[in-house]
Amino acid sequence: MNNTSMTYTEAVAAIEEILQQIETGEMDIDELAEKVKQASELLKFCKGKLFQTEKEIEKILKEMENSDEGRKSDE
Amino acid sequence: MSLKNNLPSSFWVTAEISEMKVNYSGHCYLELIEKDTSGESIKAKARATIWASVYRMIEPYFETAARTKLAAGMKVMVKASVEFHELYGLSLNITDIEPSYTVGEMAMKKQEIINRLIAEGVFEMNKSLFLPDLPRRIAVVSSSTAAGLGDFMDQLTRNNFGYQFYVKLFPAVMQGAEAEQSIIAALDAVFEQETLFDLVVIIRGGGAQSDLNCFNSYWLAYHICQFPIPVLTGIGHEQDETIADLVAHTRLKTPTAVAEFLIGIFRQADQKINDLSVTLAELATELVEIEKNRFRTFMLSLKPAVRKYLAASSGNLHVQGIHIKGFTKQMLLSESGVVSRRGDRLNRLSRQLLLVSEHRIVLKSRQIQEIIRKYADRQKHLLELLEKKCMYLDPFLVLKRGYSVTYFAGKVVKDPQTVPEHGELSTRLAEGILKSKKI
Repeated sequence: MNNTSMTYTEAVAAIEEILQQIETGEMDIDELAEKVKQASELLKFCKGKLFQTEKEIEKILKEMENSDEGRKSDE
Repeated sequence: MSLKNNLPSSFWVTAEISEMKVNYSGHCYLELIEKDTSGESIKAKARATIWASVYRMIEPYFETAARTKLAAGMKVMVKASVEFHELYGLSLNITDIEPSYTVGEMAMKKQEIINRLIAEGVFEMNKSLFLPDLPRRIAVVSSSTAAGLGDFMDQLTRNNFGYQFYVKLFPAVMQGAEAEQSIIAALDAVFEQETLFDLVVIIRGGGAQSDLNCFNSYWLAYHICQFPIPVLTGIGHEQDETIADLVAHTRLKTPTAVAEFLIGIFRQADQKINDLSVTLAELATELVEIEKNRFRTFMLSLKPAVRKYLAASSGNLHVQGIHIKGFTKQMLLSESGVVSRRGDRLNRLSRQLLLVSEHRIVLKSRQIQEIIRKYADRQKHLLELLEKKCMYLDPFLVLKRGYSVTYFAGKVVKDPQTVPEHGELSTRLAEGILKSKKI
């Protein structure tokens, strides 16, 4: 599973699917460990998305603000 | 004086306020107009005055009843009397106002705009956009000095949960005549950097509670409808929804409420992740527990099952043993049949062979007996012949017939020369021995 290209919603959907498989008894005990590992990785990914800081955006916004101020002082 | 005599003291007039201004002493000066049915050109115009003593009462009354400040652009129904001043000319002296007329007019106008937006197929456009999973890049259209903006920023950035938001302000004038154009210009600026943002928030805080006219404008609504990312409103009023609120993706009452809404999205997502973690743990544990129980039950039932199985198996073995016995017996029987049949045949054959052999032996023995008899007969005959021959050869018999044998020194004398002179001879005669000497 490629987490990097995944959106938060896709990850949640994937987790829910795994949970449903366990719940409905579709899951084999042999698969369980693997799937639980997968789900907990997805959970970690989601949690990361919640608190992630987008340094790049912050920088761009800062730059935009600075250029705005520059323009204003020119006027 | 003639005016006062010829006209009623006062009458109700409906008109649109095109200009309005209140001076330092509290007197309100207005310009009233009437447009033609197309709404393009003015067909009547009149100056009007509300004296401070009246305005002090009319203003709050109107605002309470119409839930909006008396302002330019409004249609009003006023009670007025016509005054004439030598210096300023004709003017209307307003003494009363009917707010419900304005309310009705505004509602009608608002409904017209809504109908128009619906007819143009844009009314639901912004609503149909999906809110991003986790909206954290927020463009704010607001007045940089608005108290509401401060509330919004505080709420958003000082959330207790550690969610990160990136907020950029696009300043706009939020009230008065310029507001509409200013807000549209700010939205256009956001639009240029649309990909940098998850959503737009239009907030307004402080200022006149009822100065919301710009948010009922067609053009602002039109912009909001077609904005490519969701637009959230927090215009800060409790009563009527403005058209901007109606067409926005999500309408919230105050800037603080907008911040709470955004944090709420993260809160919900956070909660959901936690719930999912718990559910995952529970389900996994449950599944393992079920398997454990199954295993335990299995183990418990294994012993009896094995015993039963063994019993059944030994029963089977027994049965099979019986089968084997029966089968073997049968086989032996059939085999012994074969054997005995073969034995019989062998008996028969050997007996036959014996008989034949016996017969042969009898025959042979007879032949042998015959041969032996013949042989014996012949030998007997030969013996008889030999006997006769022997009889003729017997020296005794020869001696009897007068022949004799002379010995010298124990040897038969066949030549007289071999015997010396005076040699003592011994002669065997039939009836005894004769001793003599050579002469």
